[in-house]
Amino acid sequence: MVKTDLPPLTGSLPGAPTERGADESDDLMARLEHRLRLRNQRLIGKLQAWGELLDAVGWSVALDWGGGEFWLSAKATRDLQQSGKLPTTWQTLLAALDQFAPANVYQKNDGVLIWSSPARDAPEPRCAVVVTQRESEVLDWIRQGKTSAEIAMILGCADRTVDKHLANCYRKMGVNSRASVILNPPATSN
Amino acid sequence: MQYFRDITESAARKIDRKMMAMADIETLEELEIRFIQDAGTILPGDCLCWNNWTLDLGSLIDFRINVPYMMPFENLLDVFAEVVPHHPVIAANRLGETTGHVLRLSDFENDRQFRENPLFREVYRHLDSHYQLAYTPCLLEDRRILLTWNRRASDFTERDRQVLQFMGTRLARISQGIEQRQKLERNWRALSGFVDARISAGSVASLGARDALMLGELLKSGTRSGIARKMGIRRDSVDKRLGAIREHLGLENHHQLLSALAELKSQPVSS
Repeated sequence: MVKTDLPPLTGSLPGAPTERGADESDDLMARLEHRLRLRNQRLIGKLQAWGELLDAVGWSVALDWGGGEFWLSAKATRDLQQSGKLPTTWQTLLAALDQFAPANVYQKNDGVLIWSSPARDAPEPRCAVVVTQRESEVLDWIRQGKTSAEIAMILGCADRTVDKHLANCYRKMGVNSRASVILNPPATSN
Repeated sequence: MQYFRDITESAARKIDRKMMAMADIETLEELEIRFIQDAGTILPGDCLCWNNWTLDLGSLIDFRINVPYMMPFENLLDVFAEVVPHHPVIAANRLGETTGHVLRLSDFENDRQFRENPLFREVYRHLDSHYQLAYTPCLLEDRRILLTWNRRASDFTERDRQVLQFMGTRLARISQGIEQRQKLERNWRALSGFVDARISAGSVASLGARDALMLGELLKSGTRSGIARKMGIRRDSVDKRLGAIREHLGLENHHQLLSALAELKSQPVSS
């Protein structure tokens, strides 16, 4: 880097060239814009889809696209609406987040913000399901992707015994599939 | 095109073809090299320079110059830093105006006056820079790009000024596109890192948007037939795609995939 003795620029720095509008109607420029946008759109689509997935499991997500544009997941929008006005720039979003101060901001770099909303931070009111020691073991192995036969071998019992333990768990938890057991683990006590 | 009234349609198309070929460039460094290589065929000059300045113009971060002038300029950097305040545009405190306007050095000091300028005597005469156009096509997050086109024998015309600006507006879009792509890639690393830290599986970095949509549907419906219905695709296709996702994540079966998704739901790890 070459340091110079130039007086620093003061005041607001101009943004993109102001003459940009002069050739806005230019078809050639529009083609270039389209091609550039298309290239970045794939990445934007991927980020947004994963942001929505995180939102679906309870996180609030904000992503900065650059160039003054950003995206808020549904939960992030709700959180910010509840805390006041929706921000219009990434900078005001950062300020709003400081003010609203969710209990935990888990990811914060220059373009990604992930936080858990106040509702998520509060303990979920869940009924504790009473499962036996053996049922709890079966559930743990189920969550690790083991089949009934594999669990039977591990626990040293018959396949039908494992299925019976599992059927009892379904009944206690009010579910009817292994997927539900895995995706919606209840607060258990034994 | 009214603003660029001296540029014919065919010349504009030629410039656009050149600039369009740069639209797929991945990095700013590569763009600098390519632009300095190619732009001289559109707007001839002797010493062609791409300067990256700090936003406040306090420091020259780095520069790219066409090959014949690379060595001479590198040897002159120290003295350049000393005499650059004598640049006629800088001395007139109008460097900021190069953002959006192509400024011609001879509009500030005529040829005879400039030959007496310390900047010319110490630096510019070694770079064949008797006449110059200066233009800032855009500001990026961390720098301001300043193009300087220099000639030894003849001054730049009004058409030359328009050509540099015409090229520059396109260069600005390409530079901003690259900057945005790099930012999005950084964001993806951060987001996928967040997910990776929470699931007991391989990295999601190589998965795409459709994979996330499918996992989202799996979370909602819990069944593969439910996903097929919701996404309007065959059950076989769902199985195939989920199999590919499992393979990427190093998971053995469907239930392990469900467990990984459940971990994403669970209370976060402390880091």
